[in-house]
Amino acid sequence: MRFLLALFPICAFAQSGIDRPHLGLMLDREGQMRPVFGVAGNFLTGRGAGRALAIACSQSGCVAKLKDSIVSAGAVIPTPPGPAVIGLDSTGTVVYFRSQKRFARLQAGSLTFLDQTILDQTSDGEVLSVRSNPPEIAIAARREDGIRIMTVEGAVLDFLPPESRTALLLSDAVVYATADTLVLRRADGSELKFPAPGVRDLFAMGDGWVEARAAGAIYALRTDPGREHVYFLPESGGDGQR
Amino acid sequence: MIRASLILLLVPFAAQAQLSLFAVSGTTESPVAGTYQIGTVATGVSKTTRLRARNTGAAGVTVTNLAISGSGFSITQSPSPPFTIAPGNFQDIYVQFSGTLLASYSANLQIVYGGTSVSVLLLVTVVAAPSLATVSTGNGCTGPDPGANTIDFGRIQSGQTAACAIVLKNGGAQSLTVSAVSVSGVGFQLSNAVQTPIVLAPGGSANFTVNFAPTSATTYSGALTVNTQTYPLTGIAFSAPLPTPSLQFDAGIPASGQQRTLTMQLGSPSPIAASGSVLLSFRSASTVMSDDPAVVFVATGARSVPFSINAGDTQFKLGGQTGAVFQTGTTAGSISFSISSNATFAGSASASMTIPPAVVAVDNAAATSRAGDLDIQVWGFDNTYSAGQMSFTFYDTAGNMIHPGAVSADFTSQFHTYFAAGNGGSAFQMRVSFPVVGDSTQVGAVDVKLTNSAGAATLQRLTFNP
Repeated sequence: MRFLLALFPICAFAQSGIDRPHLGLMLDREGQMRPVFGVAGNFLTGRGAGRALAIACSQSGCVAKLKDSIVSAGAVIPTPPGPAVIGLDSTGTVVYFRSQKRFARLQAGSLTFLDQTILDQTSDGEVLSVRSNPPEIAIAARREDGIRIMTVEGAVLDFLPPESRTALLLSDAVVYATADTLVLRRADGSELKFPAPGVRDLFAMGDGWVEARAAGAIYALRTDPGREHVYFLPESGGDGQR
Repeated sequence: MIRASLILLLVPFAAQAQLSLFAVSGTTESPVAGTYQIGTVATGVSKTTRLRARNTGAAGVTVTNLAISGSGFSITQSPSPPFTIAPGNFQDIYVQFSGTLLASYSANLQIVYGGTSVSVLLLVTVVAAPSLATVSTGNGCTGPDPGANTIDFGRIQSGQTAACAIVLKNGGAQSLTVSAVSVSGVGFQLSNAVQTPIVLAPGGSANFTVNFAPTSATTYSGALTVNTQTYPLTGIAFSAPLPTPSLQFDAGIPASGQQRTLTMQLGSPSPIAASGSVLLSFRSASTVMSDDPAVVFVATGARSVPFSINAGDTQFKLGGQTGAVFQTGTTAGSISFSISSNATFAGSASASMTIPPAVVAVDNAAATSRAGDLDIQVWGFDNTYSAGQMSFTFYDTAGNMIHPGAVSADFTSQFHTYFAAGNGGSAFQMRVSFPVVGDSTQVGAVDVKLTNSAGAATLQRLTFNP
């Protein structure tokens, strides 16, 4: 043997050890950010942590767009006002400011607006989602003929069905919603469909989780391969919050 | 001189300014001459007549005396003399009469003003009042009560009809004419129109029926009028009882960590629309945790959800949907459901779901190889709150078990401390690190066995990733 395994495992209580499972961050109907704890099928939502216009979470953390700023890793960075679309990657965040139709990269607490030519390519569509894979940026844009996935330079990567209403780009998949169905389309084109009527908003809730907000329910779609399932998130009501 | 003559002329002219008498009914004035026929009054009943003294002259009139003479008559409303009636203006005088003897009565009303007077002879006849009795039939009625003459239909179910048989009796020695019988008020009506006049011979009687047919659950009031007598009608309607609802769960064996659906139905169509709440309660089987806050209805995030049903339906809406999804939490115990409503049900509705103790449930797991450490992460829950015993069996990249085989560990106290902190159930994420001396990349996989009071759960061949 070229290694020696210690016989005494360590279960510490600092960063390692036993802790409360934190699934991510949701945006409730009132626009309040709430942490989501628990395991699949058993969710507890925490107290509201302030209003946000958009959120996105990954394994590395969460980014929230507030009225006129972005909160990331505890830092508040002033931004143009209004809604935004957030795309997380392993090195930072790409943000699309809807009111200005401009992309910016948030990295190490600094916001840098990207080349102006990029916005020209998206000016005739509504940007629904951003996927950042530096240096490439892909967007899901709603145009008159439907939602298409494209590079910011304008190259079309994929088309979503005409009945799709909104979409969220993940690192290796896209989630889109039709009138009554939530669809997880993998990179290989395979699709999994889940009944979820009326979904209007999609957020990256956490690593392997997508929040799908509808008029009648808030869904949590698990996207981990082999564990795909749609659950309900408890509404903000009282007992189910900790 | 001319001015003095004019004054002299005016004085006698003013003294002759006249008061005219009228009988007032509503907004109608009828001139009254020397006599005024009030009409008939039932024995024991008071009747008030409104007379009006109108100044038709061009100057004011000062009334110095106002009097009425006659048994049973009195002036009930009028200013005390002296008072002045301006030109074109008037003063109403209310005369009340009541008599107990069957006879004709008269009285003289006199108004004295400016050295003259106006008077009228008032005539009235006292007649025997019809006595009224009630007889209940089926869901009948009671009364008239001796105080307010109220006829009470009691409480009946909304949508049903209570029939109250009314008997008019003439207890007097003379024939009696009932000229009007009417019923007013929502929910009350005569079963058939009563043909009037009804002549009741001495000792005679007549029957008719008043129905009470409420359409909603509330208190009703109306009136039965026989000639001049009014009998208040009252009745209370209550909602029809609904059949006992059945509470049902979707198919599947109950366990922790589930989202289940509750539905509520009736065996027969609901007779009325109804609403209320389904209440959830949880009884923990654990001595460590007495409650589990994750056991809630997802539609409300709470332990109640509103329900409603329309008349004619058998399926309740729960939170506006055909079913209410609830979480079973991560604690063994019993989840019970009951209903709360203002509607009346034939029987109480309840249901319960027992969540049995189970081995540690693993939601996710990962094994990571770092320089000098092997990390094993497990996300799951332990609904017995007794986890802590575990063992790890490592395998090399060729799949051979690494000596000495299963490595046991006891983290019971750490789990107990974590659970006791109250994290909202038994869900946990655990990371166990094994220090490694040498090339940790040679370790390929690990079996993990997690033991609690319900047994052992095994994670087979968790592959280490860098």
